[in-house]
Amino acid sequence: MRAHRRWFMAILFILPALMVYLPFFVYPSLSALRVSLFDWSGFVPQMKFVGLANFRELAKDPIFWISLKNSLFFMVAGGAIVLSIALLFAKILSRELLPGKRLLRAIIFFPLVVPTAGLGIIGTYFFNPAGILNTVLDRLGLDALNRTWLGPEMAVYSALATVVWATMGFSMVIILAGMERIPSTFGEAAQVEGASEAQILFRVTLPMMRDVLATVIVFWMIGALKLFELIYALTGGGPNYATSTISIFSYVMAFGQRETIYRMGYATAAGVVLFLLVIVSAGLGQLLRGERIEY
Amino acid sequence: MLLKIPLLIDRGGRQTHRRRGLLAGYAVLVPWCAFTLLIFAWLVVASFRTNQELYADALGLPADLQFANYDHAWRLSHIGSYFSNSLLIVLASVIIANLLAALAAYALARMHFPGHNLVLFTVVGGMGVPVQLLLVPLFMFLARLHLVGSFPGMILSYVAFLLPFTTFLLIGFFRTLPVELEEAAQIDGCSEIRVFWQIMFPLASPGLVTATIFNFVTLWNEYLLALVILTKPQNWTVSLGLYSLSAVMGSTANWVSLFAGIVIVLIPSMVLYVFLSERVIAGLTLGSTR
Repeated sequence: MRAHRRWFMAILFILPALMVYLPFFVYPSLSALRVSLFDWSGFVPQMKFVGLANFRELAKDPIFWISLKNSLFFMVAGGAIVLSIALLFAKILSRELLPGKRLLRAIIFFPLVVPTAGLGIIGTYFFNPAGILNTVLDRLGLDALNRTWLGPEMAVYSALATVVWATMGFSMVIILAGMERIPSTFGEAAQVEGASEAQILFRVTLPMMRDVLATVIVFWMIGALKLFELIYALTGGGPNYATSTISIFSYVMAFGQRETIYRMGYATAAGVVLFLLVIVSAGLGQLLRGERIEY
Repeated sequence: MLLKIPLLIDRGGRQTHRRRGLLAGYAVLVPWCAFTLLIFAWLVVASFRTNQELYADALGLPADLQFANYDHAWRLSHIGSYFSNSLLIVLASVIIANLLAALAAYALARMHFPGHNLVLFTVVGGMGVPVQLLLVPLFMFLARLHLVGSFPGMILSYVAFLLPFTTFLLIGFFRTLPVELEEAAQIDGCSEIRVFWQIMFPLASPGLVTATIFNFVTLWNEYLLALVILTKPQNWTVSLGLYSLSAVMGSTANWVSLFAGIVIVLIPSMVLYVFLSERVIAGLTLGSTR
């Protein structure tokens, strides 16, 4: 009788959340798997079942390949750059006696609280042919370096630089928290033994925070795969899809950009590919993580 | 801190070594920070210039302060109404999501019931689902309910979008609270609902503060869902409004009032950040290191 009452209470506590979560999150997620097997404009009730044809078409679509390649480029190249900078910065900030440490950390983290659309607009002007970067290069007498930064050749690198600048603080703060969790006695012991700073970092500190590093890597991988807002505000995925990502591809196929497209099934198939990549990344993270280390 | 100082002096020669390390550290961090500060300082300066001045020289100072840019951004570019839309949508979504997540998290952390693990998996598993996957079906579902373009449609979608992480975060907080508290209250004859409202909910307030900051910043900056769902311009949020303003830049080329618009939108984040940066940073990164 009492057990039954507890049960009833539990359901009462959970029901409100489920009443929103099931129809507005779970149902669309599951139905996405179904929609990806159909050819559908979205505005007529008739959906034509096409099996895996959407996925076969993706495999042959050069724009999808550019988008996939860009997403993986942001994930791998961006990840390497962000991780290196974040490690270096966190190492410096983890010194016990560093005046101004909090201020420096707050400034580095700041772009993460700025609306992404705003960052995109600032970036657009920064890289504009008559914008900040080229003007600064002119003033320094380096006008030979002037480029059309958001043109077909450079756009993907400019976008990468923007993403690194805007999001590096997140990885840095997590790594810093991980470093500060390790008792300083370990580093001091190594120092007494005559180890250099670099040796302490790579032989002592990093192996001890393997779980934190795995978390940072997974967060980066998933974040990079889902990348949409910053790049869409910066370049709109252009010029001519040069900076498109899987997310941008999926959005454009569904809702169009300048002209309408409305290929709901096809767009959702790209979403399914993205979902699979996210699952693979999360699984990879579990492998990297190993056991959590307690000290 | 004080205890370390004699140690430093004891090491004698190490002190200069340390100072050199410190300088090298600043040499690495200061350029990055200076760049970030200069970008935002430039933004504020440029927002007071005229477009002609900007075209003549991207880096100059304004001859006269063009407050008209702000007026233009606020009224003609509708940043003012986007602002109130954002405030309404974001606050309503965050409050509802936190409330629903707190209830669910409490039950998941403290009660046993059939299907417990299934519910836990379904809710927390949502953290791994990219919103891009469900964009199209969600849009179609909202269209069937005639909720596309409306505030309720946007708020319900945002609540659903926030629930997985918020529930996950709060489960962690409820698990750290001592069981004895509830047991004592129940022996005293309190109902579960009173135990939750008067004891557990207030005790979970650090978790709720973290969740509020995280969710607020996330939604204030979000525009992918808004782009799809908010089809009526009069209901746009600031992030979406800013994005749309930049998209029509090609035809109007009114950069300076766009910059003024960004500054306006930045003010709440700035205020929040200046006073609460420690909490904001902790809030945005918490849950990832536990």
